[in-house]
Amino acid sequence: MISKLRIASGLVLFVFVTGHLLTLAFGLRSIEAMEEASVYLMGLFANPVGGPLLILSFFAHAGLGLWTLFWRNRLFFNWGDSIQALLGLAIVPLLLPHIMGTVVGPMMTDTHVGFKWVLAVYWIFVPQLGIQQVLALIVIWVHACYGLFLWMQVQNWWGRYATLSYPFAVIIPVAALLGFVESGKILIANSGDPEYMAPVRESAEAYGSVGERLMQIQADVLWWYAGIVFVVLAARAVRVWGRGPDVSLTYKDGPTIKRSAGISILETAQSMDTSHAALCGARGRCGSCAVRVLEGAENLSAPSRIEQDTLARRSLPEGVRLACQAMPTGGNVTVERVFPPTISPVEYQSLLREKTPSSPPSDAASQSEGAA
Amino acid sequence: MIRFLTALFLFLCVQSIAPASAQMLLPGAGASETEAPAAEPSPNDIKELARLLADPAIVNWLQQRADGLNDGATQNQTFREAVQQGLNEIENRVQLVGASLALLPDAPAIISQTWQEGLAPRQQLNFVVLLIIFIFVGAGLEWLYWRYAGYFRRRIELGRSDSYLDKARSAVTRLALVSGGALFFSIGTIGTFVIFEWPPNAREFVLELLVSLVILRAIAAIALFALAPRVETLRLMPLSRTNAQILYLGVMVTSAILLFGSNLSETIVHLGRNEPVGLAIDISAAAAATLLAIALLWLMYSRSELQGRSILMPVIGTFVLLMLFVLWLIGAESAAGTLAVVALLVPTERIVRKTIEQAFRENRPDEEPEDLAGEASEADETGDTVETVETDEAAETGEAEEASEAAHGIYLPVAVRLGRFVVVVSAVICIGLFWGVQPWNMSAVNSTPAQMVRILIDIMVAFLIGDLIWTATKTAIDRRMAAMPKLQPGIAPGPEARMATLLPLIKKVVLVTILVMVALIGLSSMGINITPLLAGAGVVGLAVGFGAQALVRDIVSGVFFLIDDAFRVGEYIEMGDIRGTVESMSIRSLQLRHHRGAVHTIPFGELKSLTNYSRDWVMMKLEFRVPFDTDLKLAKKIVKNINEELQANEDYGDNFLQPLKFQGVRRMEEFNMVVGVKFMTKPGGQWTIRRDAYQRIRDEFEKAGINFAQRNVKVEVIGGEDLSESDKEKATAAAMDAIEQQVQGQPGG
Repeated sequence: MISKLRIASGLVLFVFVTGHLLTLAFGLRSIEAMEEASVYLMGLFANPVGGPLLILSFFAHAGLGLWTLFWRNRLFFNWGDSIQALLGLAIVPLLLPHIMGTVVGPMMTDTHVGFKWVLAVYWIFVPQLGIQQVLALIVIWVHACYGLFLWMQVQNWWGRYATLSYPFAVIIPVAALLGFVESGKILIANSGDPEYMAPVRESAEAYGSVGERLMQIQADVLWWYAGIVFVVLAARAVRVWGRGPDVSLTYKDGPTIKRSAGISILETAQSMDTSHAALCGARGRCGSCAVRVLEGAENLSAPSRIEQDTLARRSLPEGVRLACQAMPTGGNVTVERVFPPTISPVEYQSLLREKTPSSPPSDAASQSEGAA
Repeated sequence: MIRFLTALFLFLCVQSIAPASAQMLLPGAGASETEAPAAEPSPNDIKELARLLADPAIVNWLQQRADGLNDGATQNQTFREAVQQGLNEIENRVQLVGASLALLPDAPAIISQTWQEGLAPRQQLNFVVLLIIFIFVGAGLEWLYWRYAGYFRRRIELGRSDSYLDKARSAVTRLALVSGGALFFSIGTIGTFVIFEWPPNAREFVLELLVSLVILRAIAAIALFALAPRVETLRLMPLSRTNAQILYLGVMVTSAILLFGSNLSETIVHLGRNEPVGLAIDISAAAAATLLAIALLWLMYSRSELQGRSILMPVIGTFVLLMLFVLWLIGAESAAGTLAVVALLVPTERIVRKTIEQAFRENRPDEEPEDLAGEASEADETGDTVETVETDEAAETGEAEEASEAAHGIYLPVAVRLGRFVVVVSAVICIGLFWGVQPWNMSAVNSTPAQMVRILIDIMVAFLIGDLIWTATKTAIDRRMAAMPKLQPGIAPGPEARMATLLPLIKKVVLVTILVMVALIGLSSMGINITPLLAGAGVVGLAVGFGAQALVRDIVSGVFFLIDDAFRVGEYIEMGDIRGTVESMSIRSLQLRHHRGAVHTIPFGELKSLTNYSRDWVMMKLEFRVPFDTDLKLAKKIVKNINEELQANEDYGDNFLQPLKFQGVRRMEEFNMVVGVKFMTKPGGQWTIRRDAYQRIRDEFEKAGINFAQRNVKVEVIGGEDLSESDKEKATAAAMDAIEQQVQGQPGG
């Protein structure tokens, strides 16, 4: 449920961000074109249904992010995942001025905010905000794409669309950034023209009165946010404080790893750079990290709900556990990888379609594939 | 400075393509291209030329060019003047360095001031926005690239390579993939950069920065190639995981400091024309990089757990690095480059040799000695205890080398020599580059250093090629000699014995030939005319050759008889009317002992055709004459019995190859029939068997009542049934007379 809510809210936010970026891309033509495009591309969220949905999704997504942060056993899991978490945390402070200026500001002053005013702020009046906004765009897009691809690549339809979808992930933000630059240049070139700059002047006058209150609200929100993040991290630290007894995890045809209990098999393996397939990023969705427990099954934590569901859905046999969910609680555990660590999403899907997950490809087979 | 670094870097990493890349770095290299064929100028062209010559701008430019040419003509100055000039340059440089060191504390302030003056505040921030966008676009494109290529990379990284060649192939493939990523990044960043218009100052600055980034990516790709800090199976250098990671990080940080330091300094110089500050930045960057490199050297030394590690290595390394820094500081960049190349020469050669040896060793697991394999796998398992590159050479003993050479045939030493050859030649080319001599363009340059370098290169190349041939020959001959069985007293030497006397001779001849050729090439490249020498040697050679013609013919034909394996010591041979047992052979001749004791000495050159009686088997055929009424079945049985008896004989029973066989009647004659007996033995064993066979057959036939046919006369008197004894005697006597007459008359008739 939590996992589904997380991806659903993320998808809503992704649709909005994509529309917003496509709007920006029209800046390659003119600022007027941006205004016009925004009616269609961002209009979905400018009505009594879309607006609250967007806001709700935002809070739900952020809240769930903090919730998983709390339940994280190791702060560093792998690079992609850690960066994803850091980017998620950075979005609020980076994006706050933009929300203040384009959502809260108009609500307070009851005016319409045009692209010319926003561009003028970013390119002429407060250029450091421009830097912040570009960084925010990049951070949000990377965060969104990473999450989206992690979710998509374990879906059954993924293999067919994978290679087609990648270019869009690059084209959209690049076009948006180039549109941003181009419209900024147009604005700077026309900044001497009073008629052209009239909307900017109007907005500037309107904001003059509420500027200080806006700054005040922004600072308050930032402090609150920092406080919440701190509390979550502190609570997590208290939670993981009681580390369990020593665990010895042995891979068949692989290394033996000794660590203290409290982290999953996958985390234990990855902490020692033992390669292991984990296509969904240890979210328990895909089942590609499955291991066959050869010894010490009693030394593993009981299967969680997510794990049971995934094991059943992938029809994995008895004695197989998900490495990302199963947690050694002490003593010795010996496991064997069910899928080769080199497996790609496409191969994984085809393996599942063949309905032969219980008979893993032998080591020799995976080696010869690797050589090919 | 970037050029200097890049050249060094190229030498380190891409030895073989150094000339090509360096040519790219020095755009003037291709200046002396082939001239277009001269055609008669048209009147219009001449008018145009006259108009151009009248143009003051053109005249100025020509003047400058001419001055430049004069500057270039310094080779005519005396040595004293050259030294004077060099000293002056160093003095100026030192003064500049002093000035910039004095400025060092104020450098940050000056940098920010220059930056402020160069660009308006709003512009500065806008540029930061643009820079972020460039890098994002580059990173995005690279990400896209890795979406499609990353899978192959993972396959390579997680695959297992069984041999060193496999490993190298995988590493090269990965290098290509990683380079592709860097290429996409460059296209993204620099491509986006090109789209926008820039104010002149900003353009320089941003472009410098982006190019530095791209160079850094290239360095990272090559460092990844050699060190593979995360993937054990692709690591080409014999380093442990941790050491490789440390080294990789160190190389990257050092390169980044140097690159961005020189980048910043060039920007400052360009923006503010403030040379001392630029130099100050350069000096700090270079000092930091030098210190880092020294620290890295000592760290690697202390982490090395090899037994025979020597403290000399890091000490020399430190000294070289400090010298490099000082030389660069006083502006002697050529000297610094030379020093660097010379210092890198020894470790590079060792690394190349190691790599080749390892490649050979891993590719021949069947021939590999057990202990070597054990060591290697142990080292792999323990990981951290593997020695570092710098110090792992000391433990290697000459014996181990010899053993490995013997095990891997002639190709290993040749490959090692070839590797050394490539390293040395590229080092010389790099040094040439530092001194402004372009090896591929040398015939156009007439300065003394260029000549010297050219001569040196010629001699070195001749020497190295000679060395290569010599090594190949020596290894081949030594292997052949080592494979020969040792001479044992009491046993007659085989053909190897003569080969053993011949091979050293061939070796010496090859050595002398190579030496003479190398010496002659050296002399000729020094400009000494060797034609008279050759001609003189030719005349003498001709004279000696005529005199020694027969001798040479004997030796050469001896070699060929030997190759044909026509005879060996102890064999019984016949040539023409000379026959005997081979008693001994010398380089020139053969000695035969006739069975009656005479010794023949025959030069090999005299041998035309030759019959060898001692090869593989001998067939003996015996004949007996028996009367017509002989019982052949009985005879066959008797022979069979004798065969069994002879085969059982202790002395020569083993010599039989085919048994004694009764062949039946061979032909009929006037008064008797001829029966044949044959047997096959090993060469030399037939005589005794024949003797005994004759003897036994005669005895047994006699016992069985078979008489050998003898000559007898039968006198038949027609109607003489009732002759008296005396008449019979008369008749017999008359017949005897007739026969005697017949017999006596026969020789005459």
